[in-house]
Formats: sequence, structure tokens, C-alpha cells
Amino acid sequence: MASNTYDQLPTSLEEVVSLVLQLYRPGAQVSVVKTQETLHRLQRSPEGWRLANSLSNHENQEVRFFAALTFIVKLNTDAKSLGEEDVQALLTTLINWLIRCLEISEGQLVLRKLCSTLVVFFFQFSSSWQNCIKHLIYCVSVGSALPYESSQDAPDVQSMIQQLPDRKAVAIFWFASTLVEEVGKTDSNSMKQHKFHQLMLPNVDDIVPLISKYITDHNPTPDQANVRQEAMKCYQSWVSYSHRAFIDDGLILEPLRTFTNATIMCLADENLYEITMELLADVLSTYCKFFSEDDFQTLFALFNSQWAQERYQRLVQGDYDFDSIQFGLFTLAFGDATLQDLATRTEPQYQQFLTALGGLLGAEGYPVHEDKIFVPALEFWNAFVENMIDSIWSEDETSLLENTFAQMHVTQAIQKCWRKIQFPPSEIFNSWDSVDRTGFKDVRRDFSDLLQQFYLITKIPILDVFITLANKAVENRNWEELEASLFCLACFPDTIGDTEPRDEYLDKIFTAQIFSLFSTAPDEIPLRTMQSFLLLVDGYADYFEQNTAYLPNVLNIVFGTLASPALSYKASRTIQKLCSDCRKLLVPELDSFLKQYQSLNSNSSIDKHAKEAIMEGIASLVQAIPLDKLKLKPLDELLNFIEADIEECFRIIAFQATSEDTSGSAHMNSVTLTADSPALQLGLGALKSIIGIGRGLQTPHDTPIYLDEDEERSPFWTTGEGSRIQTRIASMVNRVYDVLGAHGDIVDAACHVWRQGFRELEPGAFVVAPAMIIQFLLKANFNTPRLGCVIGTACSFVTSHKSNNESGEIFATLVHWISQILQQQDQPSNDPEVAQNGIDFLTRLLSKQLSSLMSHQPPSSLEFLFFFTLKALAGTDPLPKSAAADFWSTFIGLPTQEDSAMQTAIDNVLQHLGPMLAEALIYNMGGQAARSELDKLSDPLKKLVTRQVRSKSWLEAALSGNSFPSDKVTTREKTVFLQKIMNLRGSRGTNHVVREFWLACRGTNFAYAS
Amino acid sequence: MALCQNRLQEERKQWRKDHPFGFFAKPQRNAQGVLDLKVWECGIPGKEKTLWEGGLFKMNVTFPDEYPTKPPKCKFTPPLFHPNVYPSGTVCLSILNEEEGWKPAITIKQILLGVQDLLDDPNPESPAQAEAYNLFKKDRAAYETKVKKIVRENPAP
Repeated sequence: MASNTYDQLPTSLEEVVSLVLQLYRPGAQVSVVKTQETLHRLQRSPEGWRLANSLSNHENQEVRFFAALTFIVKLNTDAKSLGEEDVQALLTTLINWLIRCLEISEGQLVLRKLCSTLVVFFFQFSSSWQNCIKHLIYCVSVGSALPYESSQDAPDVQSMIQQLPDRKAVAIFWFASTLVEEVGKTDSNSMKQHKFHQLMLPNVDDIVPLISKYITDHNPTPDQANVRQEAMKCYQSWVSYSHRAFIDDGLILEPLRTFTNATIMCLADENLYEITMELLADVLSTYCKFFSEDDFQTLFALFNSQWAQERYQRLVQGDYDFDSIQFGLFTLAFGDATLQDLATRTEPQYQQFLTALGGLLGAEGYPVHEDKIFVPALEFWNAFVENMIDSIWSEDETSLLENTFAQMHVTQAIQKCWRKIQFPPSEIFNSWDSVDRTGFKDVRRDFSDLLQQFYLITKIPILDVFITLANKAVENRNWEELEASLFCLACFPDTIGDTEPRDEYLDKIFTAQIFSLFSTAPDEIPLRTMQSFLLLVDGYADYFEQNTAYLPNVLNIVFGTLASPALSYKASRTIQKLCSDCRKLLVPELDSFLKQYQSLNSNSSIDKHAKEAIMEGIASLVQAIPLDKLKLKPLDELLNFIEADIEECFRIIAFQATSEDTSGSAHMNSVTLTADSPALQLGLGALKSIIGIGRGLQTPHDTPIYLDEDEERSPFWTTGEGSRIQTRIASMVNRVYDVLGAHGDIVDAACHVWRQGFRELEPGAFVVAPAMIIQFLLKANFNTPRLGCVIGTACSFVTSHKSNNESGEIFATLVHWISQILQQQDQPSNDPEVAQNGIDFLTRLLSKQLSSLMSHQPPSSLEFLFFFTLKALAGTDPLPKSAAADFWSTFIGLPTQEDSAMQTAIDNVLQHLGPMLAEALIYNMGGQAARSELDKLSDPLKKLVTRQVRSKSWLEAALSGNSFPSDKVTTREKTVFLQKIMNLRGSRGTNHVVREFWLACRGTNFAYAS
Repeated sequence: MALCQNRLQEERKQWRKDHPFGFFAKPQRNAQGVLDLKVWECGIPGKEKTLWEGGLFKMNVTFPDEYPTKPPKCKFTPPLFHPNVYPSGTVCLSILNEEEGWKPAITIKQILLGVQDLLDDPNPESPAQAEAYNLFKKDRAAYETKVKKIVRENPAP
């Protein structure tokens, strides 16, 4: 039985009613979907109209609601089936129902839905119901649904509404609000099409008297609270719509502005307070043109009134209830609307109001967690300062003078903020939820925005504010205030101009006193204060380059903070930066830093990222030693630290190997290590530290480069005394790699050690002989993890290698190695990363030393490599495909070779593989490629067209061949495509033509929805 | 041009009024202090309960003269380790592509939220950098370790 009910539509009204009741009954989750579906089908059926009409009289409210809903569904889906008479009849039916509702005191649920139904009717038949509000008022007043034309004979609205009972007025308000809200939701295009804005114009004149009747009423009776609220809500909807009408069509709905003053007065009525305040705040912040100068004066007077003063006091004393915050937001909205005047006018009323706005920054409690007005108030002040700056740049110099007052207010606001951004004690801060904690930090960021903006007006003297506060905090050992002051000072490094006397100011903060405080009382100082100190030092690192007296002190303090896990990361970066920036000055401190590091290393465990950064910092001092010979000792010391870590790593592994092994033949690299095992971390840390040293030893970018390539290079590092260091590094890397090479991160890090030397132009500890690189690379085979990275290292090596008479042999070895790996891999898709890097390697070789590729033996292996790239080109993996496109683009574009045998070899390859290349390209352009790949793929196509005479026939064959992937283009379209491509002769337009063709092959349906 | 400026003014206003937690976005000022509405400095926090939580990533958003008809360009500075971020730092995201999902109605807030979503939910269909893409596809554990490192290097304040 049940299934019958769902599959077939009910035949009697009773059945429908029972389904409707079932739908609204709680529970019965399973059947709801089916019931809904059945009812929906019913609503859409031709019987829908009649059904709705019959149900509208039902005794049950839910059924009547469903009736109204059914009318809406029919209007939206089936309006076209109605003739002119039907339309009029329908309107009469709906209005009659509305009148009936009002007579029987129908509940809100149905009445509101019915109002919505009438609005939907208006949307469908607006031309037959233009003055809908007047007509509705007329019908409701006389208590009968009169034909629309008869409203021409109706008395004027003003007189009709005098007698209209409040209850009926409420229904009119609901209808009018819904109407204007729905019109406001229409998008601008359909708005233009249906001229809805124009249609609203006469209706404004009809609704305004009714709204005005209730809002301007000075002696309402107590039972009118509800209707007055509805009037205000309706007014709000219309005002908010009028903004839209103004933006879209420049229409000003003047009648709405006639009782703005009375509206403001409604704030005093506690029943209307909330809604009125919302309305006023909305208008002030989005459409303040709506108010007249008179309204603004009324509002100023309002804020000066005792009523407002009391509310203001309650707010700043920490009353954050809804209506109190609403008052705060209203105040700020008024500030926003009068921003320009507040910034420039000096009369008391403006000054007082600005003071009040500043006061909002000083309300009780911690921002966000307690104080809910601080964030919006800060936003106001940010906007205020932004406005000041804009007016400075757009006006003449006199405006600067007028700004003195405004500046004074901003300075006071900043003082208040400085207090508010101070962190609470950490136990309080940590008790907040994450939203409040993030919010508090956001507040600090917003405040730093304000400071940076205000800096543009005051310039450097603003630093004095915080220098004074900081020094006072130092004296009082007030850590929270010190933290806030240092934080503020650290906001400015990027805003201070080169010509400003920055260091004179910083001299006042970087004093003996502050350094002694931070170096003698580190345990007493809270973490956050230390953090801000680091931030400050880091921000002004270059100050210490010029003012060297305290540089060692600073570094010693920073070294001291390394032991704290929360600070070690930032501290290690600061050390790295200071050492790097001031390397020449700090060379004498090298020994002391090495000692500091040693004692730290033995007393606490510094994490590997911090180690890497510190190693880099210290190594940059080594780099600054002028004589290579003198670099050896400190480098040895640094390597000793790392060596110790490696030994420890091996010790752990050996121990594990013996304990796991029972056979007695323990082998180090048979030990399984998890990703976070200490041994693996030590090994990884060791390699990272070596990378750090390598980076530190790199020549800074600002040193001159000698372009004279022929100059004899010093053999100090490769064969001289320094070679010891190179051998040591290589041995350390290889030892770690041999034991831990099964771990991807180790392989990755080892590769990066070698890469450090590639970017150097001058000889150095990391610029090793090619043989050392080759020895490392050849360890990798098909099973090595992160093989892509190893081959990538080979790629960088090819590019950085300076050709000499050994190059041929070196590259031949590498090609052999790559080709073995790729052959083992067989298909590019088996490991796209390896494929991509392998092809990239071949591409780089093309321009570096073509002969080493073309003379690769045996010929079958060379052939495999070319085929491999073609497979990648026709495959689905994006990166190998892109690499293959590069390869072929480079290959076809090779310059004519002087060596004729070489040229013949190239030509042979192209004649042999050209058809397949064309096929792979066309296969992609015929719809197989992703859209983002098309530009890349167009490159080889363009080269092919310009450089190969036979390209046209190859492409033609590919277009008509069996492998062409699309059946959505005709032979004619293919021919046109080919013709266009050939005519363009490789110019930029090719990409566009390819894109169009690709789209056509994919089918027009594929175009993205707009 | 005027359309572009008006729209950006409005975006600025809207952002001030309402922006998601932990994000920041502000137009740049040039050396003289004049506001350049067409280049915004933004910060995108990693989403809670994802690998990216705790990080804050700086991104420059540059608006063309044809904005909002054409989309802005989003570029992480410094470039971010992520499958859909080009080595230059430029973000590859369909809603930022004129020929794909860009619509003039998309707001700065939506863009930044979109990029935030992308962080933890990369699109393997359109790789923009090999390093992150390959690791993401082949060695998820290593990818995650690397992301954690990136988060540590770019901590939210």
C-alpha cells in the first residue's frame, strides 16, 4: 500500500491532506523525502492550481501554508499557462484569501506565506499589477477583492489609511517589505529587462504615508508597539532598497527621506530602539547620503544628550550586552559617515565626538575576549588615519596645519591602543579559546597597520613615543609594557626612509642599559618580551652593521635564548641574519661564537633547523676571512660538531643492529628506522648542518664578479691544502648516505649539499671536482628513493659545469647512467618524477654538449631515449609531458651544426621521428591535453612549422590518423586548423588557434559555466 | 580604470568591516606613502586542524586595470612549497583564471578563503611546481614533513 502512495499521485483531497500532515509531523525521517517528492509532483501537475485553492480553506494551518506554497510553485513554474482573465481571477482569489485571513485572525505562518505568494504574483505579472500597494490597501480597506482597474476610483491613499486597522496595516507592511526585498535581490540584468526599479517608484508614494503614520505618531497607544515595529522594519527594507536603486539607476526615492528626523527620535522608544538603531547604523555606514545636513545635526545633538552619554558610559565601563554594543557600532558608524569633517573641522562638537571615539579604544577588558568594541573602534581609527594620508596627498599644504588636531587625537588613540595590546599574563592568555587568542593577535597586527600608516604623517618622531615608554618600562621592570613598546618599535623598520636620521633614534633604545637588562636577567624576562626583543633586533639588524659597539652583546643575548624551544627558531634566524649582514665585523668574534655553540650543543638539544641556521651564520663569518688558509681551522671545528652528531647517529644504529640481530652478522643498513627515530633525525640534521655551512660560505651577492673566465683558478680547495675539507665533507655525506640512503629525506639533503657548490663562481670548499659529484650520483639506481631529486641534481650539475677537456667523458658517464635508469623504468608513467627529471637532463645536455647525447651507445639505447620522450609527450602525466615539450622544442630549435656528421644525425632523427612527434602533439591538441598544458605544447609545434619542410604532411597525417582522439570536429575543420597553423608560421597567434581547436575537439559543452 | 578603483575602494571598505580571522589584506603604499590600491599585501593563515595550522603565508595580490573583468594575480612571497604554486610564487587556482572560474563578483575575501582551502586541498590535476607536486603524489609522509617545516618557518604571530 505504502509504495502505491508514493508512486502514484493521490486521487482525493483527503489523501493529499494526510500526506501534507505527514510531511510536517515530526519523526518519520525515512518517508519525508518520498512524501515531499510526491507532493512536489502534485504541485507541479496541472491540478496544482485547483488543489491550492481547495486547500486554502482547510482547517489545519499547515495545510493552508502548503496551499500558499503550492500557489508559489505554480506561479514560478506554470504562470505562462494562464490567460489574461485567469490572471485577474487568480489575483482576486489571493486577495480574497488575504482578507479572509485578516478576518479570522490567521496566524503569522500562513499570512506571511500568503504575502510572499502575492509578491511572486507581482514578479510574474507586474504589468497587470503596477500599483500593487495601493490596490492592496484599497481592497483590504473595503474588505473585498476589487478588480485592479477599480483602484483608479479609489480615494487617495492618505485618506484610506486613516481608517485602516493596525492589523491590516501589518499585513500591508509584510507584503511591502517582502516585495522590496525580493526586487532588491534581482540581478541588475533582469532588473533592466523588467524595469523593476521604475515599477517601484509609484509604490514608494503609496507605502510612505502608511509607514509615516506610525513612525511620526507622537502619542502611540501601548498596543501599537507591534505595528510600529513592523512599520519600522518595512521602512528599513525600503531604505535599504533605495540604496540599490540609487546605485543601479541613480534613482533617489525622495519620499522615504521625509521623516528621517522622526525616525531618529524613535530611538527613545524602547520598543523601537533596536530596530531603529540597526537601520540608522546601516544607513550611516552604507548610504549616508540618504541623510540631510539637518539629520546630521540632530544626530550630533543626540550624541551630546544625556541619553547617549549614559549609554556611552555603560559601554566603556564594560557593558557588552547586545544593545550596548549596538550603540557602540552606531557611534562608530556615525564617525565613519562624518570622517571627513572630523579630520578637518575644529569646532567643539567635532572635537568632542572624536574624543568619544577615541574613548572607545579604552573600554574595560581585554580586546576580543572581553572588550567587543575595541576591534571595530580600531578599524575606525585605521580608516581615519588612512583618510588623513589620502587628503595630505591630494590637497595642498595648508591641510597639514588643520591636521594638528586630528594628529593629536590619533596620538591619544595610539596611547590607548598601546595599553590594550599588552598581553595578559600567560595563564590567562592560555585559558582563552583559539578564536580569542587569534583575535587578540589580529588586533596587534591591525594596530601595527595603524602605526605604519600614521608614520607616513609624523615621520620618525613617532618612534620617540615608544622609546620613552620602553625606557620607562625598563626602569620599572614592567615586562608587559616593555613587550608592547618593543613590539611597536619593531613595526617600523620597513617604513623608515633612507634619508631619515634613524640611527639617532635607535641610539636611544639600543643602550647599555637595555642590553645589560636582557643579558643579566634572562630568566626573569617573560618569553613574549624576549620574543619582541628578538623581533626588534632582527628588524633593525643593519643598524648594528653601522653601530658596532653592541653587536657582540646582541649576539650573546640572542645565543642565550637559543636554549628556549619557543625562541630557538627565531633566535637562530636572527643569528644567521646578523652574522651574514655583519660578517666582516664579526670575524674577530668567530672563536667566541664557536665556543658558545659548543657549550650550547653540549648543554641542551638544539633542533636541527636551528643548528642549520646557526651553522650558516658562523660559516658566513668564515667566508669573510680573507685568506683561504685561515678558513681551514674554523671549518674543521664546525665539521667536528657535525661529525660528533654523525658518530652518535651511527652509535645508535649499531646498537639497534646488534640488539635486533641474533645471527651475529649485524649490518648497519639493515636496521629499520621510523621517520622520527633519533638516529635518522641526527643523520638528517648533520646533512642539513653541512648544507648550512655551504650556504654560509657562498659569496654574498653584492661582491663584484670577475668576468675574466681565462684567469687561472686557485687549486687551493681542489688539490691544495683545502682539499682536505672537501674530502672530509664528501666522506661525511657518503657515510651518512651509505647507511641511511634508504630514506628519502637523507637522499634529498645529500643532494642539496652538492648543490651548494654549483651556484658558486669562485673556487671554494663546496666547489668540488666533478669526479666527486659523479661518484655520488652513480650510487643512485632505480630503487633509490627521491631518485627525481638525484637526477635533478645531475641536471643542475650539467648546467653549472664549466666545460673542459674532461666534459665529454663526464657527460657520457651520466647519459649512460640516466639511460639505464629510464630503461629500467620503461614507461614514463611508472615514475613521472624520474621521467620528468630524466627528460630535463637530456634537454640540458642538448644545449650544453650535444655530442655526448648523440654519440651515446649503443644506438638502440639512444633510440630508446628519444622514444621515451615521445611517450611522455603523449602520456597523461603533466610534468613529464611539459618536460618532453621542452625537449623537442629545444631539439628542433638546435642551431645548424658546423660538424656536418652531427647535422646529419640530427636530421635523421627528425625525419625518422617527425611523424610520431606530430602525432603526439596533435593527439594532445585534439582534446587530450589539459587546458593549462596547451601553451607549453604549442612551442614544439611552432618550431616544427618554421623549421621542418615536411611538417605539414606529418601534421596532416596525424589529424586524419586513427589515433586522433575526437569525433567532434569535421575534416574541414581539421584542414582549416592546419592551414591556419601553417600560415601563422610559428607566430604567437598559434597558441590561440590551438586553444580554439582544442575547445572544438572537446565539444562546446565543455566551456566553463559563466 | 575608474571601475577598478571604485571596486577596490569598496573591497577595502568591506574587508575592514568584515574579514575572516587570522587573515590580513591591505593595499600597499609606495615610498611616498600614496596608497596603491592595485597591489595588496595579504596574509593567509593555515586552516585549523590541517597540516597548515599555525602558519601564516604572505601573498601579494595584483589587480589589472581591467579588474574586475579580469582576475587579480596572486603571488606568494616568498614562493610557497605547494603543488599548485608556481616556482615564482604565483597561485594556480581555477577561480583566478580568466578562462576558467573567474567571475567579477568574486570578492577578495572569497579569493583569500579559496587560497586557504587550496593549501590543504591541492589540485593534482594542475601541478605548478615539480617539487611539491611529486612529493605530494609519491611520498605523502615526506610531503607532510616538509609542509610542517614550512609552517614553522612562517609562523602566525
